[in-house]
Amino acid sequence: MSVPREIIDKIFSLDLSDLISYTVAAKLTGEALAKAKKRIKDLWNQRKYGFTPSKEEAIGISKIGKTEIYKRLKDCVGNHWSLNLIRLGMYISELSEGGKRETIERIREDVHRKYHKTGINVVNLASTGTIFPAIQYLSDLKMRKNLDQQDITKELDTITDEWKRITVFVKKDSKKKDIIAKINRCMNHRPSFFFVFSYGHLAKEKATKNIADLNNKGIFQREGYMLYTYRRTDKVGTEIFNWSFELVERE
Amino acid sequence: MPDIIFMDLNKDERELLLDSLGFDIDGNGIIIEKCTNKPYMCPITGKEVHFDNASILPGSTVVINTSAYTLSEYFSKYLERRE
Repeated sequence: MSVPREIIDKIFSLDLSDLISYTVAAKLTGEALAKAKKRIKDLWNQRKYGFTPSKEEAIGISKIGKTEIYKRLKDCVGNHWSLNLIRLGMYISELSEGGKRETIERIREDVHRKYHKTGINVVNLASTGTIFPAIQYLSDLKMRKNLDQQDITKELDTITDEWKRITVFVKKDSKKKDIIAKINRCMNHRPSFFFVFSYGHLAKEKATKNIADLNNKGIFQREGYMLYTYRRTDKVGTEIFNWSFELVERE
Repeated sequence: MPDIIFMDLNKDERELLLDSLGFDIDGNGIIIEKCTNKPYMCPITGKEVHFDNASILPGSTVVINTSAYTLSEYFSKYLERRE
């Protein structure tokens, strides 16, 4: 028996979601069901649709791939193996603000299972925000020195391997001597660059004062480091300041 | 990365979608490839995929075990590399 015209019309006029709902609700069978399934497959192959039991999570993670900062990184390093981990770290940095500890732990376990400590380093690099000035640095470096993706990738690998050694976090209750000692320790290792971070107004004031003191004494100039300031605000409005110090001797 | 429309589907609708794309579900809820009659393996975790935890994603019919990690890997490896 041929399929009634109105059913054929329906199958070919509905979008995918409605077609699936209609096929189930109308309990199509036989040739009508076969036509509906073929149409479902054809629409699916347009690559526009997806299903996941974690819709909110999937949208959140896919949105990170559309941010300017992520696109800039991709432009610098191409399809680097760490991109999905950086994306996860950025996603974690958003989750942290909502306190979704269980999800964060699960992500870390999954990453550790496949990429071990190196993978966790990459996730931490992104989840702590260190990746933001790092991307700025890589992007500037690419432009200034006309480097190709391979060169920039090496820089990114250095950052992921050494990020703890090249990052100083200043808290509101950090002591002056500790901040200065940590900055000096960074410079003693002579990295191409290092970062100082502060979260929130009080931490920023403390970091600013100590960096200004060192700068006024000509310490950075003497050690060959050029200073850049970078500011952003997180989702809940907390100021995040960082200072990037780039070794200019090597130029 | 292209925008994906994530659909809301109930259990029967998901079964129909999987059926249309060439998959069955066995008595334990494991997704089976019709062409081989064997359990389908998640290309990211390398493990069997349970119906309740299956994300069905665009591409050459990619079904994955769902987690933040697998979703991120899917976006990076299956979508962005084709741009």
